[in-house]
Amino acid sequence: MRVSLKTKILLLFTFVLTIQGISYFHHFYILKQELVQRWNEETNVLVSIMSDKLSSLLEEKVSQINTLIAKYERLGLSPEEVLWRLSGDIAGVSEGAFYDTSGRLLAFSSRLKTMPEFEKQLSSLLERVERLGYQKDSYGELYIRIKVPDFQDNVFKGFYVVSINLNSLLEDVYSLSFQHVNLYLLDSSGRTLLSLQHTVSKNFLRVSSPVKGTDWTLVIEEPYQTVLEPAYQFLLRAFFFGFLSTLGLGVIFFLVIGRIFKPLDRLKESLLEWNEKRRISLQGSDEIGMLSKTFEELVNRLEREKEVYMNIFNGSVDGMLLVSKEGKIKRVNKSFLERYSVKEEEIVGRDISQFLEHGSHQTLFIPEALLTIGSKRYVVNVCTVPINVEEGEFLLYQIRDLTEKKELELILYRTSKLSLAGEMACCMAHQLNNPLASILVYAEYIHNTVQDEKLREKAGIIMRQALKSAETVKKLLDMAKVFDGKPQEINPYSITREVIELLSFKARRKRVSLEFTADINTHAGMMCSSWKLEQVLINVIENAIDASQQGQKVEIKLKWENSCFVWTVRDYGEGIPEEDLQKVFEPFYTTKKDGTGLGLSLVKRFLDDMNGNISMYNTQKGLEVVISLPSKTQC
Amino acid sequence: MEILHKLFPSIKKVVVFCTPQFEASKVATKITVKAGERYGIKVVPISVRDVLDLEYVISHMREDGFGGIVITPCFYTENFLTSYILQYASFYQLPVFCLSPEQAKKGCTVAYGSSGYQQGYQASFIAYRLLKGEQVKNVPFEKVRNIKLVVNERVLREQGVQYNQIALSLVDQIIP
Repeated sequence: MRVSLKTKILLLFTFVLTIQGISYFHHFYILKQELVQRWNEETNVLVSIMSDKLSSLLEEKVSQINTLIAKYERLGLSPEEVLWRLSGDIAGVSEGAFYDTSGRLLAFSSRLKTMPEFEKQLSSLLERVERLGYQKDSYGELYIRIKVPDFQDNVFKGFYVVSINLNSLLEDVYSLSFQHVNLYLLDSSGRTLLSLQHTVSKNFLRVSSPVKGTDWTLVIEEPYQTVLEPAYQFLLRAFFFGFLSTLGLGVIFFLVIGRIFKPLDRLKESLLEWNEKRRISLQGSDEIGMLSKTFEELVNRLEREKEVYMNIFNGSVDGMLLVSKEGKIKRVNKSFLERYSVKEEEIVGRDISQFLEHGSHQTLFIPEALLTIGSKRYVVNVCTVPINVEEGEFLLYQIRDLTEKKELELILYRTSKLSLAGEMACCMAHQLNNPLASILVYAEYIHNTVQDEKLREKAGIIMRQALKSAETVKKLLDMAKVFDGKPQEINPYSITREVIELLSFKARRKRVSLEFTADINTHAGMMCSSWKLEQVLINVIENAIDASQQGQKVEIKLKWENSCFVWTVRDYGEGIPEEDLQKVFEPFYTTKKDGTGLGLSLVKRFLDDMNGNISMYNTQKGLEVVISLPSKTQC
Repeated sequence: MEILHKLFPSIKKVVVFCTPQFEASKVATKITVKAGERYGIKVVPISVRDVLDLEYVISHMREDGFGGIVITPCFYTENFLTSYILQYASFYQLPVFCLSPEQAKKGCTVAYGSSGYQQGYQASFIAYRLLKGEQVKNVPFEKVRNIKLVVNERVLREQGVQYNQIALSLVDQIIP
């Protein structure tokens, strides 16, 4: 059976109310028992104290009577005057009589009555203090008559009988703080002698205590209702405040539940509709169960989609950066980290402007931008796309590296230029070869046929110059050979000479002299790509020429050292600032006005390919570049 | 009346000032008249409207054979006329019998009864019980419990009235 959440909450509310009611009555029952027990304990103590006090008050009265009788008799007062005095001096004593030794009434006195009622003859003649009986007046006040024997100088003279007001005595021991308490004085047979009754009720709690020295019993009783008043008040208050708080809570509960359930119902309906479309079967006993199932399904779906997106993000060939609106990098993909050899913690949390010059929060495409990672720079193109993910709005930076592409473009440009020069040289060589051959043949003929020494000498000069020109043409034809990057057996000395020859025209035009010295076997060879070596030497020597002033020289030395061919190229220019020495091999770093910044980076890459090495030093005057290539290693 | 008779055996006729409008005054006057008859004293109740009436009555009492004045419980007499009664009685040398020992201090010749303080003290317990919510029907009547006989010796001497010396032994307090 499916029970809705509303019904469950109502049942829970009813259950809580029932528990509350049961606990109220349970506490009320326990409180009643405790109150009765406590009343019994406390009132027992109280009635005992009161009975003791009543007993001592009575003894005190008798003692006072004895003392005053003796006192006034010594003063010579008559029994009537003594009695008058007693009734004036002792509170609660209003009248008295004097009997002779045989018990006959001789005198009496009263402050209230002209003729007090005393027996003419005493029934008991025992010479001791005795209680003769009780008497009530017209006001209902009870008097006890006490017989006191009168001795003057140890001579028995008679009896004084004095009426003591018991109401007065009882009120002296009665505490006014007891409002609803009834006080009874019972005689030996249980009859009520006196009562101070304040309350009428059917059910009473009662405690009693005997009065010492008498046959009386003092009884205190209090209505059951009064004793249990705190318990009833508790029940009433608990019921009242419980009712109010429950009512208040119920109203609040009703309003809150209403406010919660209204949108919850709507949400449930819309989700159910969505689920029906998705054909997802939901099982749950109530709205919350169904909602939780639906949300679980949604969350799983979102997780799966998130995983797909993360795979796309990480698996992209291009570098991807997720950047917040404030420009902080929140996430970076693996391709970026691998391509630029950097750790995630060095990127995440940093500002994008630290890495990218054109950091922007707009959707844009930057064809060429400079990316700086640590000390390295890269040319990249950047595409940014705004996206909304769970944490907020972000920009997705797609970064594609263009560095290699730019390098290749440079090589292609140079190669195309060289290729054109080669073709031109080849054409010129073909055109020059035939006239040179004719010149050489005729010069040789003249040299061999004429007898004139001077002519023969001049013909020899023509022959030598023609041969030299033919050699130059041959070199041009060699240079015009098609580019071949494959390793081959080469002569480093020859290669160096050829490069110097190639650049000598540029040097002469700038009036810079090129000095080449070789400290090796000029026939020594090595396996290497001649094209790459030529490119390396051209770049380095050309840079030296560019750095030199007019009239300065560039020294090129080739030597054999530690199984390596070592080229040293030194110029006498201004050198490179020390702080920039590490950057010169980075792409796009240049100190030239029209430089591309790719030459030395290519040199470095080619030498790395050939297991070679390059280093630069600032000397006292100028710059020294040292290139070393192992002779036995195939590059 | 018994004590009056014992102290002043020669007095045979006294005046009781009463206010007939007050029931208590009427009852007290009747009881006083009856008690006087027992001891051979004629008690004459007289009502006065103001101080002038009072002076006229007291000034002629000697001529008419009255030997003293008895003051009974009465709100008007006790509260508004007592001081005038005592003043004129002193002037015309008439002994006055009062109900409260405090009045003896103010010039009353003889007073027999409970003091206002004692009555108030006793009544305060009853009042307290009532104020605490006890039912009136549950609170019994109480008689005054401390009754004193007080004589103002100076006034007695000044008035020159004959009195019984032996009866003075009954006096609880003598105000010098």
